[in-house]
Amino acid sequence: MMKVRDYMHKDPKTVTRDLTLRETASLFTSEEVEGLPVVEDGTVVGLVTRRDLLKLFIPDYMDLIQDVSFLEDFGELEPEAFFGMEGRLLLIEDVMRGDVPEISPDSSLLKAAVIMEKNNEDLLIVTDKSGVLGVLTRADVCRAFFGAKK
Amino acid sequence: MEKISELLTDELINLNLSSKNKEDVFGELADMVHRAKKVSDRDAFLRSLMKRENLESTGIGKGLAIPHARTDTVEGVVMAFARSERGVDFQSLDKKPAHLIFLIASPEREKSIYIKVLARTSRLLRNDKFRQQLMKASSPEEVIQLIEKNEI
Repeated sequence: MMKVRDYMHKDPKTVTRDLTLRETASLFTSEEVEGLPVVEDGTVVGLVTRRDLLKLFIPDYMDLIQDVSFLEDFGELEPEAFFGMEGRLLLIEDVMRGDVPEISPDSSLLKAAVIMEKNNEDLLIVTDKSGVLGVLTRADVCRAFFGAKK
Repeated sequence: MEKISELLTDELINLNLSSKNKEDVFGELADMVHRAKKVSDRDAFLRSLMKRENLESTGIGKGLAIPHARTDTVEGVVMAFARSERGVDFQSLDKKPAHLIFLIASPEREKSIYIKVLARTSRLLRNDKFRQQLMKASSPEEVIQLIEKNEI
């Protein structure tokens, strides 16, 4: 059986609630990850993803528009438009989700794929009693299913 | 779309904060939203605000502070506005006291709306003229009218 533990990213970078979103965005780049587990006292308490950060820049009215093809230009992004001085108004605490999509390292990859598909998850956090062991992304599952190399 | 001018009502606006320090301001804000029946548990609400504030100050400079928290002591997005003539030390980056304080809270499940209200508030307050007008407003009604006029 293809198990989660054989395809996950081991010892992933974790973050704490007090990191600013600008610092978080830098981490997404340097670590090349889709999401970062948020930990407190060794326990995972949340998850923040690239998607959580990008959503902040999408204007409210886009929620009401289904077809965006007629819009050629959404305008310029104003620097510091949202986050106050130096981007310190919003922290991971403010945007993270608390209902963390967890999976056991001994679960099958098929189970992981089903959870991702059904719940529209970009990644799952692999945990056991000791805490965070790894992160499994859609790319990892794809790679495994198609026998592709890393 | 949650508009700031619709979230604020007269009873959620205090133009004469009496508190001199940040902790007392939070207490005064918690009392105000509790009196307006917007929170189920005043003390738990206050703890959520303080917990977030202790991670990083919500004083963003230019005389502004936007204390905020996600807490299930509220049923929907809640806002309050308070003004302090003398100013309150929020340990802001520019080291200047906060005069205009916007409180924002929401239940855990309404993260998306909460963030958008926070972003809209922050954006609205970048306008220098608007901040000056808020400092001069003489009544809660005038505050709401000003926000209505400037809110996109």
